[in-house]
Amino acid sequence: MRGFLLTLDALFALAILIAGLSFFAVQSFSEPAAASALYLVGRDFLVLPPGLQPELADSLEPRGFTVSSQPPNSRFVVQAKAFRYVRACEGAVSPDAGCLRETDAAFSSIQSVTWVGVR
Amino acid sequence: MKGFYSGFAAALVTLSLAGLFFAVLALSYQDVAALAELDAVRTFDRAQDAQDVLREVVADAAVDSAFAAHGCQPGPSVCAPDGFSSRVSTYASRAASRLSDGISVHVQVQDVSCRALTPSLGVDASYEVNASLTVDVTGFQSGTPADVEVSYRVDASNAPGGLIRVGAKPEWVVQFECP
Repeated sequence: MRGFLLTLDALFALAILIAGLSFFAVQSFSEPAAASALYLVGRDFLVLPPGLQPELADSLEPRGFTVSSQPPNSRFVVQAKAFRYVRACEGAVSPDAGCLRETDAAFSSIQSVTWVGVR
Repeated sequence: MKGFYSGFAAALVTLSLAGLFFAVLALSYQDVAALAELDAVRTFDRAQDAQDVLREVVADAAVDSAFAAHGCQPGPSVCAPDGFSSRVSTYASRAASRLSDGISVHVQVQDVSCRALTPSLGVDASYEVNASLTVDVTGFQSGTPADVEVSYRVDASNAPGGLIRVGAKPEWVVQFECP
């Protein structure tokens, strides 16, 4: 009888321990929520003028974020995209330039992509 | 007594496991909601990008139409059927295919108008062009307008140094020299 009760005590303790630990483990890192945050960081990076992008990347590095054009080797990585029309013809151009006869989107990609990772 | 203890134990174990089950279930719902929110943000951003791109597309069509009409080998007027109107449709269609990456973007030209502001005399001419386009982004359901309405003044003129200048005011100007 005593042995039986001790086994049951151990089972209760185990069940409660597993329940508690699982709850905190799952709650501590919710991937979709983290993905939203990383995506927003990526969009902020992409909409910045190119000259300011390295500054933002450098300021995020000490906080555990890596922003790069290739998927970083991080624990969790998200891709962000932005689309911007690039003017191929502006200012002084040759009258033979193809961009005067066709959409400028034909001459350069309108899509920019960045990857944001967190340690 | 033994029956009481074993029943009590079974009840406790069952309650613990049920608690765990519902905790994980609640977190799963949170994750589903977070994923849906991320999708919505992505779609919203794509709609905004599409609007910005299409404003530029219309300006590009205006500049190229001015070049075709008043460039080194002058062709049909900016307002001719194969001028600005035709270019807006072609350029917008191309832009839509570029914007459709992972998220489907459809663009429809609703209305295009073109009006000569001055008599076309050689290089010097001015036009007013307007375009109205509808952007349909898959999953985009918010009340934010996804339509684009733009208006440009298109000019062609002689510039100092034997150059010809065409542009869609206020901001897009191209200068070139004919051989």
